[in-house]
Order: sequence, then C-alpha cells, then structure tokens
Amino acid sequence: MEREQQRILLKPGESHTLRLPSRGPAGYDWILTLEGDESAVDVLRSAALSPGMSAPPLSPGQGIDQLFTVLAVSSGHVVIRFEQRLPFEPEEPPVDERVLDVTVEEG
Amino acid sequence: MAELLVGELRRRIAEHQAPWAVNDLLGDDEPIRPMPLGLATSEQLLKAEDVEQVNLSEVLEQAANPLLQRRRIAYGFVETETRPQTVGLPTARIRPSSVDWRNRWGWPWITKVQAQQPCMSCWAFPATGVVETMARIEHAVWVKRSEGDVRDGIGLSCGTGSTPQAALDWMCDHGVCDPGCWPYTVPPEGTRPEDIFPWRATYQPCPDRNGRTVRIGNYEQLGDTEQQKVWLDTVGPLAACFDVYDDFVVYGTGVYRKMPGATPLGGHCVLIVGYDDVAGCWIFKNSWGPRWGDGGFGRIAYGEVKIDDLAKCGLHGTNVDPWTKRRLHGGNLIESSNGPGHRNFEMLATAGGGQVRHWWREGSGAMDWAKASTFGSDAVVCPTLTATTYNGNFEAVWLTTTGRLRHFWFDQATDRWNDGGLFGPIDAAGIPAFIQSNYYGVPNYFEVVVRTADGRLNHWWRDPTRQWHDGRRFAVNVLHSGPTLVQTRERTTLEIVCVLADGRMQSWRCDDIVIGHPDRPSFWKPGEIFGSGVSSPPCMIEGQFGAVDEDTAGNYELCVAVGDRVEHWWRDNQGLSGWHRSAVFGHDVHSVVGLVEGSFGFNLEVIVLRADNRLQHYWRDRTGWHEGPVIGPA
Repeated sequence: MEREQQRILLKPGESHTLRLPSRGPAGYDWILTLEGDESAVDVLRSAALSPGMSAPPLSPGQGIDQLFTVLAVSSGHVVIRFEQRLPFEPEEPPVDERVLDVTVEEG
Repeated sequence: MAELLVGELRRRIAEHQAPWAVNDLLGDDEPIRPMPLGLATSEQLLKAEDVEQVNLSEVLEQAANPLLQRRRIAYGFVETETRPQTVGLPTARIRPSSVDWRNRWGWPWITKVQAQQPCMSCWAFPATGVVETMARIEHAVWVKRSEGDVRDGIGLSCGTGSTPQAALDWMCDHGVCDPGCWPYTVPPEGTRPEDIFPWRATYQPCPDRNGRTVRIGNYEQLGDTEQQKVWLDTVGPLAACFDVYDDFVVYGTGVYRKMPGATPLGGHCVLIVGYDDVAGCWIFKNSWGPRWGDGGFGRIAYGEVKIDDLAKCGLHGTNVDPWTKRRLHGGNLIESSNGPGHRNFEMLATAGGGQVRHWWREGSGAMDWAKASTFGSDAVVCPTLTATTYNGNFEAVWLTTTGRLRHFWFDQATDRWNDGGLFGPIDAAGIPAFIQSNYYGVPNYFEVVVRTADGRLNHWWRDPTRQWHDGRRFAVNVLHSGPTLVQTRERTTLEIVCVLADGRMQSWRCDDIVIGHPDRPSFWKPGEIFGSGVSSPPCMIEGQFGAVDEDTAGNYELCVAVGDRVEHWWRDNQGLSGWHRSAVFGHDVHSVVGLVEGSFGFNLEVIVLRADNRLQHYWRDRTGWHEGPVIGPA
C-alpha cells in the first residue's frame, strides 16, 4: 500500500507543505517517523482552516485536513514516513501512507 | 523536529495534575503533535442553549422496568401506583450523584463496544446505541442493531459525516434492523486510500427486514445538563457530540480534559451511558473498538471540548421485533409488539369443539385479559405460538384430532388468522415444540419437534419455499414432548427437553449442520437426565439471566407440572453446571402451557392449565413467584 515516494530538494530556510486528509473522528492520526539526518528539517503541523472559520464545535464525522510543513534547517538527507493509523492499535496496518524524501543542500 | 511525544504528554498531564492518563498501549516515544484551532459550528446540530426544557411529566409513561418506574415516581413524572412489582423498592427523591448504565441495579444494559474503523460514521453509532440500550431497558432483552442499516439506508458514503439526529430521523421512519439483515461494513481490504471515503455500500437489506426491525417513536433533544442527568437517571443513555483533539485519541483512563496546545482533528459523537458528579464527568461509550480508552469507554469532564454546547439526544418507546424476542417465549404465550407499551401478551388456548381462542392482555394499565377471535376446528391441545420475521405475523402449530399437526398464521396486514394446512407425522401424539430458526444463517426455516405414538420424538422442518420435511425420529420411551425447543444464542444448535416414561426429563441437542444436503438430516444427541415424577409436558425458554452481553447465551428456564404444582428448573449455559430446581409453586395445576420472560424487569410469566380446565397466570419477580388471575376456560 506504500505510496510512491515524493522527492523534494530544499535549500536551508525553504519549506514544503503537505496536505493530508484527517480521519480523526474515526480515531486515526498521522504518525511520523524520520530516517536519516533528522536535524536537517523541522516538521510543523497545523490544521487546514478556511478563512473565516470560527471555533469548534465541528460537524460530526468531519475531519480537518492536516498540514505538515517541512522546514529545511541544514544540509542533509531525510526520509519522512507518514502513516495514518489507530495509535492504540499499533500492530494494525495503516489505512494510508505517504513518504517524503527530502534533500537539503546549500545553494 | 517540533513534535510532542507521548512521554511529554504524560509529563504535562502530571504537571497539570490532569485527572486522566494516556493509553497504556502507547510508548513514551510515540509522537503527538500540537496544532491550532478548528472549524465552524455545524448547522445540523442544535445548540444546547437553543433547546427548551422537556416536560418529562408529559413525555414519560409508566415504565415496565420496576426499578426505573421507581425513579420516575421519585421525581413525580408518573403517578405512584401499587403494582406489586414496584412496592418496597427504594425511592430516593434526589438525583443520585452518579449513574452508570454499564452496571445498574446489578444488570448490564450496554451492548459491546463497536469499531467504526476508517469510516467517518461516528454519528451512526450513538444513535444505534441509544436504540439498543433503550430496547434493553424497556423490554429486558439484549438488542444488537446495525449501524450500517442507518448509514447505508440513508445512502451516505464511508467518508460522509452526519449527526445522530439525522440517524434518528431516519430510524423514526424506517426503524433499524439487526446486523444479520444488513451489516455495518467498511471498504474491503486493499482499497486505495483515496477510494476509502467515496466508498458506498449498495443498500440491499434482507427481504424480511420488516419483521426484524426495532421501531422507535419520536426522540427528544435536551440542552440543559441537569435535565440530561435526570434523563440518564429516569430514562436511559444519550447521544452527544463534541470536538476531538489529538490527545483524546490516545486517552486511556481517568477524566479527560484537553491539554493546552492539543490539536483538533474533527467532530465526533458518542453514547453517554452515565455521569459522575463527584468526578465531574460524563461516562461514554466510544466507537473506536475495545482497545481505545478504558475498554472502549471513557470519561470526559463536564463542559470539556464543547460536549455540553450541543443538544444531546435520547428516546423512549422502543418497539422490539419478534426475531429479537424469539428465545424469550415458549408454549401458548408470547409478548407481542402490540399496545402502547409494545408489550401486550398474546395467548392461544383451546375453546371447545376443536376451536382455538386468541386471548390478549394489555401491557400497561389494568392489564386485564380479553378474548379476541376464535378459529380452527381440530385442536386438541393449547397451540404452540410464536411471532416471526414474516411481517411480525403470529404463527401457531397444534396437535389435531387426527394425530397430525396443523399450522395457522395471523396476518398482521389483514388482522386475520389463516389456515396454513396439515403437516407432520400421521401418528403425532404430544404437544409440538415450534420455533423459527436460522439454521442456515437466515431465519427462513420453521422447526417442529413432536412426540409420536411410538414413544419417540419426530423433528419436522419447513424450508423457505414453505414445504414441510420429515427430519428424523430420535429418542425412545418418551412420554411427553412440549414447547421446549430453543435455538441457542451462541450456536446454531437446537436443544429440546422431553419427559420420559419413568417421569424424568431429558435434554437433547442437534448441532450437526449438513449444509447443502437436500434432505437436511438432523442428528440429535442425548443430554442430561434430570427431575422426577413428571407426568405433563414441560415448557422452556432461553432467558436473559446469565447473558452478560448480546452474544452470550442466557440460562434455560423450564417450568413443568409435577403433581398439582409447578416446578421451576434452570440451566446455566455459561457454567454448564447442569439443571437445577429453584422453586415449586402453584396449586391445582394440570400442566404448564406457556412461559415468557417479558418486558417487566426480567420477570418470568407462566400460564398453567388448571385441573378444572381453566387458565391461570403466575409470575416471578425478584422476590419470588406470585399467583396471578384465573384467566378463563380452555
């Protein structure tokens, strides 16, 4: 089920944002693992909020897309694996999986 | 890498002295990430502040469950009445500090925790859960309903959110069937992730859905939290919705409060099964499987994550289908869906000249027995009665004057009894046992076992084309057959008890399923021999005592006349400790002709034929057996 790797090349200070669907109302969350030079990037997470959206409560069964922003910090190579799974059932296979292959090079 | 680990969340929980813990299954190095705020309020849901108080005195009726009835009396919602079932029970006039329907009054009321899996169908689970729990509270029977029936009946895809209110609206019109009629399903394994949300089941419920559907009346929306607690005390669980944050996903035990910086993931709904004022929380059943939280259950602080911002939904007045109640009656008596409480008794008895009389008793109010129509011309014993998935029709089988069996059925659509014809052996010589079964997975079969003149038992069955077939004869030295046939909850096994010529009883079981065999032979094996001095037909059911959940077989309850009294026997189907005699009661009894475990708080109801050929009602509550009225002649 593993998806094709997406390869990106960044310079320090540049960023790349990945938008992923949420299955939060079903108990699923995106679990990240980093392989390689973990110090090469910072990964920030935020909700994909539309302009003008106010506070919860949310519509039942409606998930909020998750935005993962990869911020290049220093030269190096890292593979970021995103697995959407039930955190409390770690032995079960993920329902979705994405892989981001990131290379950070000085310009 | 800017992310929060489970270990760090545990440290923060400790630092804030938050009263909950992360799921023990998670290691400290698992990541939890912070995130900002969420989305707009759903327009589909009523805000709690916009909901007016419900006048519970107008809404609630007399409860069949005597313990619940006392709670309603305590608040003055229903008039104090003097039914023997409720006298002597405690009547606290204040709302209790906690209610938990997982175990109330020593009984379990909540069905097993389900898993919605990757579909966004959370809204269907508490709506279905409210129906399941209210059916159990109101009718004292485990009831499992299908969340898929609602979701797919409405026509929503796996990824489409909705509300419990929308689910209840649909169920008000269509009811909700059991999973065997139409299950909850998710996209098949191997479905591409982008195809999971659009996936939609093609709704094709079973043809007899109408006869295996729990109906509901209207539902109530409650906005005031104090009234929600009173509802939990006097009616039952509620459906509720709130916002889900990422720390909730890893909740384990304790009272959940969102931690600072937690990330909203979406909107979610659960079944509120109780409250605890000391801990300041709602107790709820989630739909993320039993490994989430505390065995699938959780506690959430009052007002937390907007749980009290939206109206919560409850209902009452469930109408349970005959397929669900099928194991709870034997002989000439059933509890039907008729009457305002959907708990009338229906009874068939001989009426002289070979005729059969239909009797009925209202399930509330004065509870007087009344005569309905008479029909037939060749009945020599009280018929064995059941209600079936075929539109909830009543079906009866009796021994005829010519030593055969006759089938009659009551058409709910036309309100008339119809002759289904003769069948069975040419030497039938006993009271027939008669049930609807799902021996092959669907309830399209009838099963009959009757004593024959050679002192044996003869198994007959009817196939989906309505053709009767001779199974085979088994057992020897049989003095009486009786309405004791049960298809147990946990297995497809058929079990029956007969009376032997030496006055003892013997159980038999048939668990050899020959799927696809044109003659569908049945292989019966002898079981325990018990009792003594029996000279009349026994009557048996599988009841709710011992059934810890909806998938567990309850105890067998058997009543039989010995001398001129009734002996009550029971068998623990979990401990398998054999048959036990628990009580002897009654007087002037010729034989036991009907046995029901009905809606009245797990009471047993017995109909006996007296030596003077009149019918009499006995019943058992938590205090013992009681003599009811003499109903009339048979």
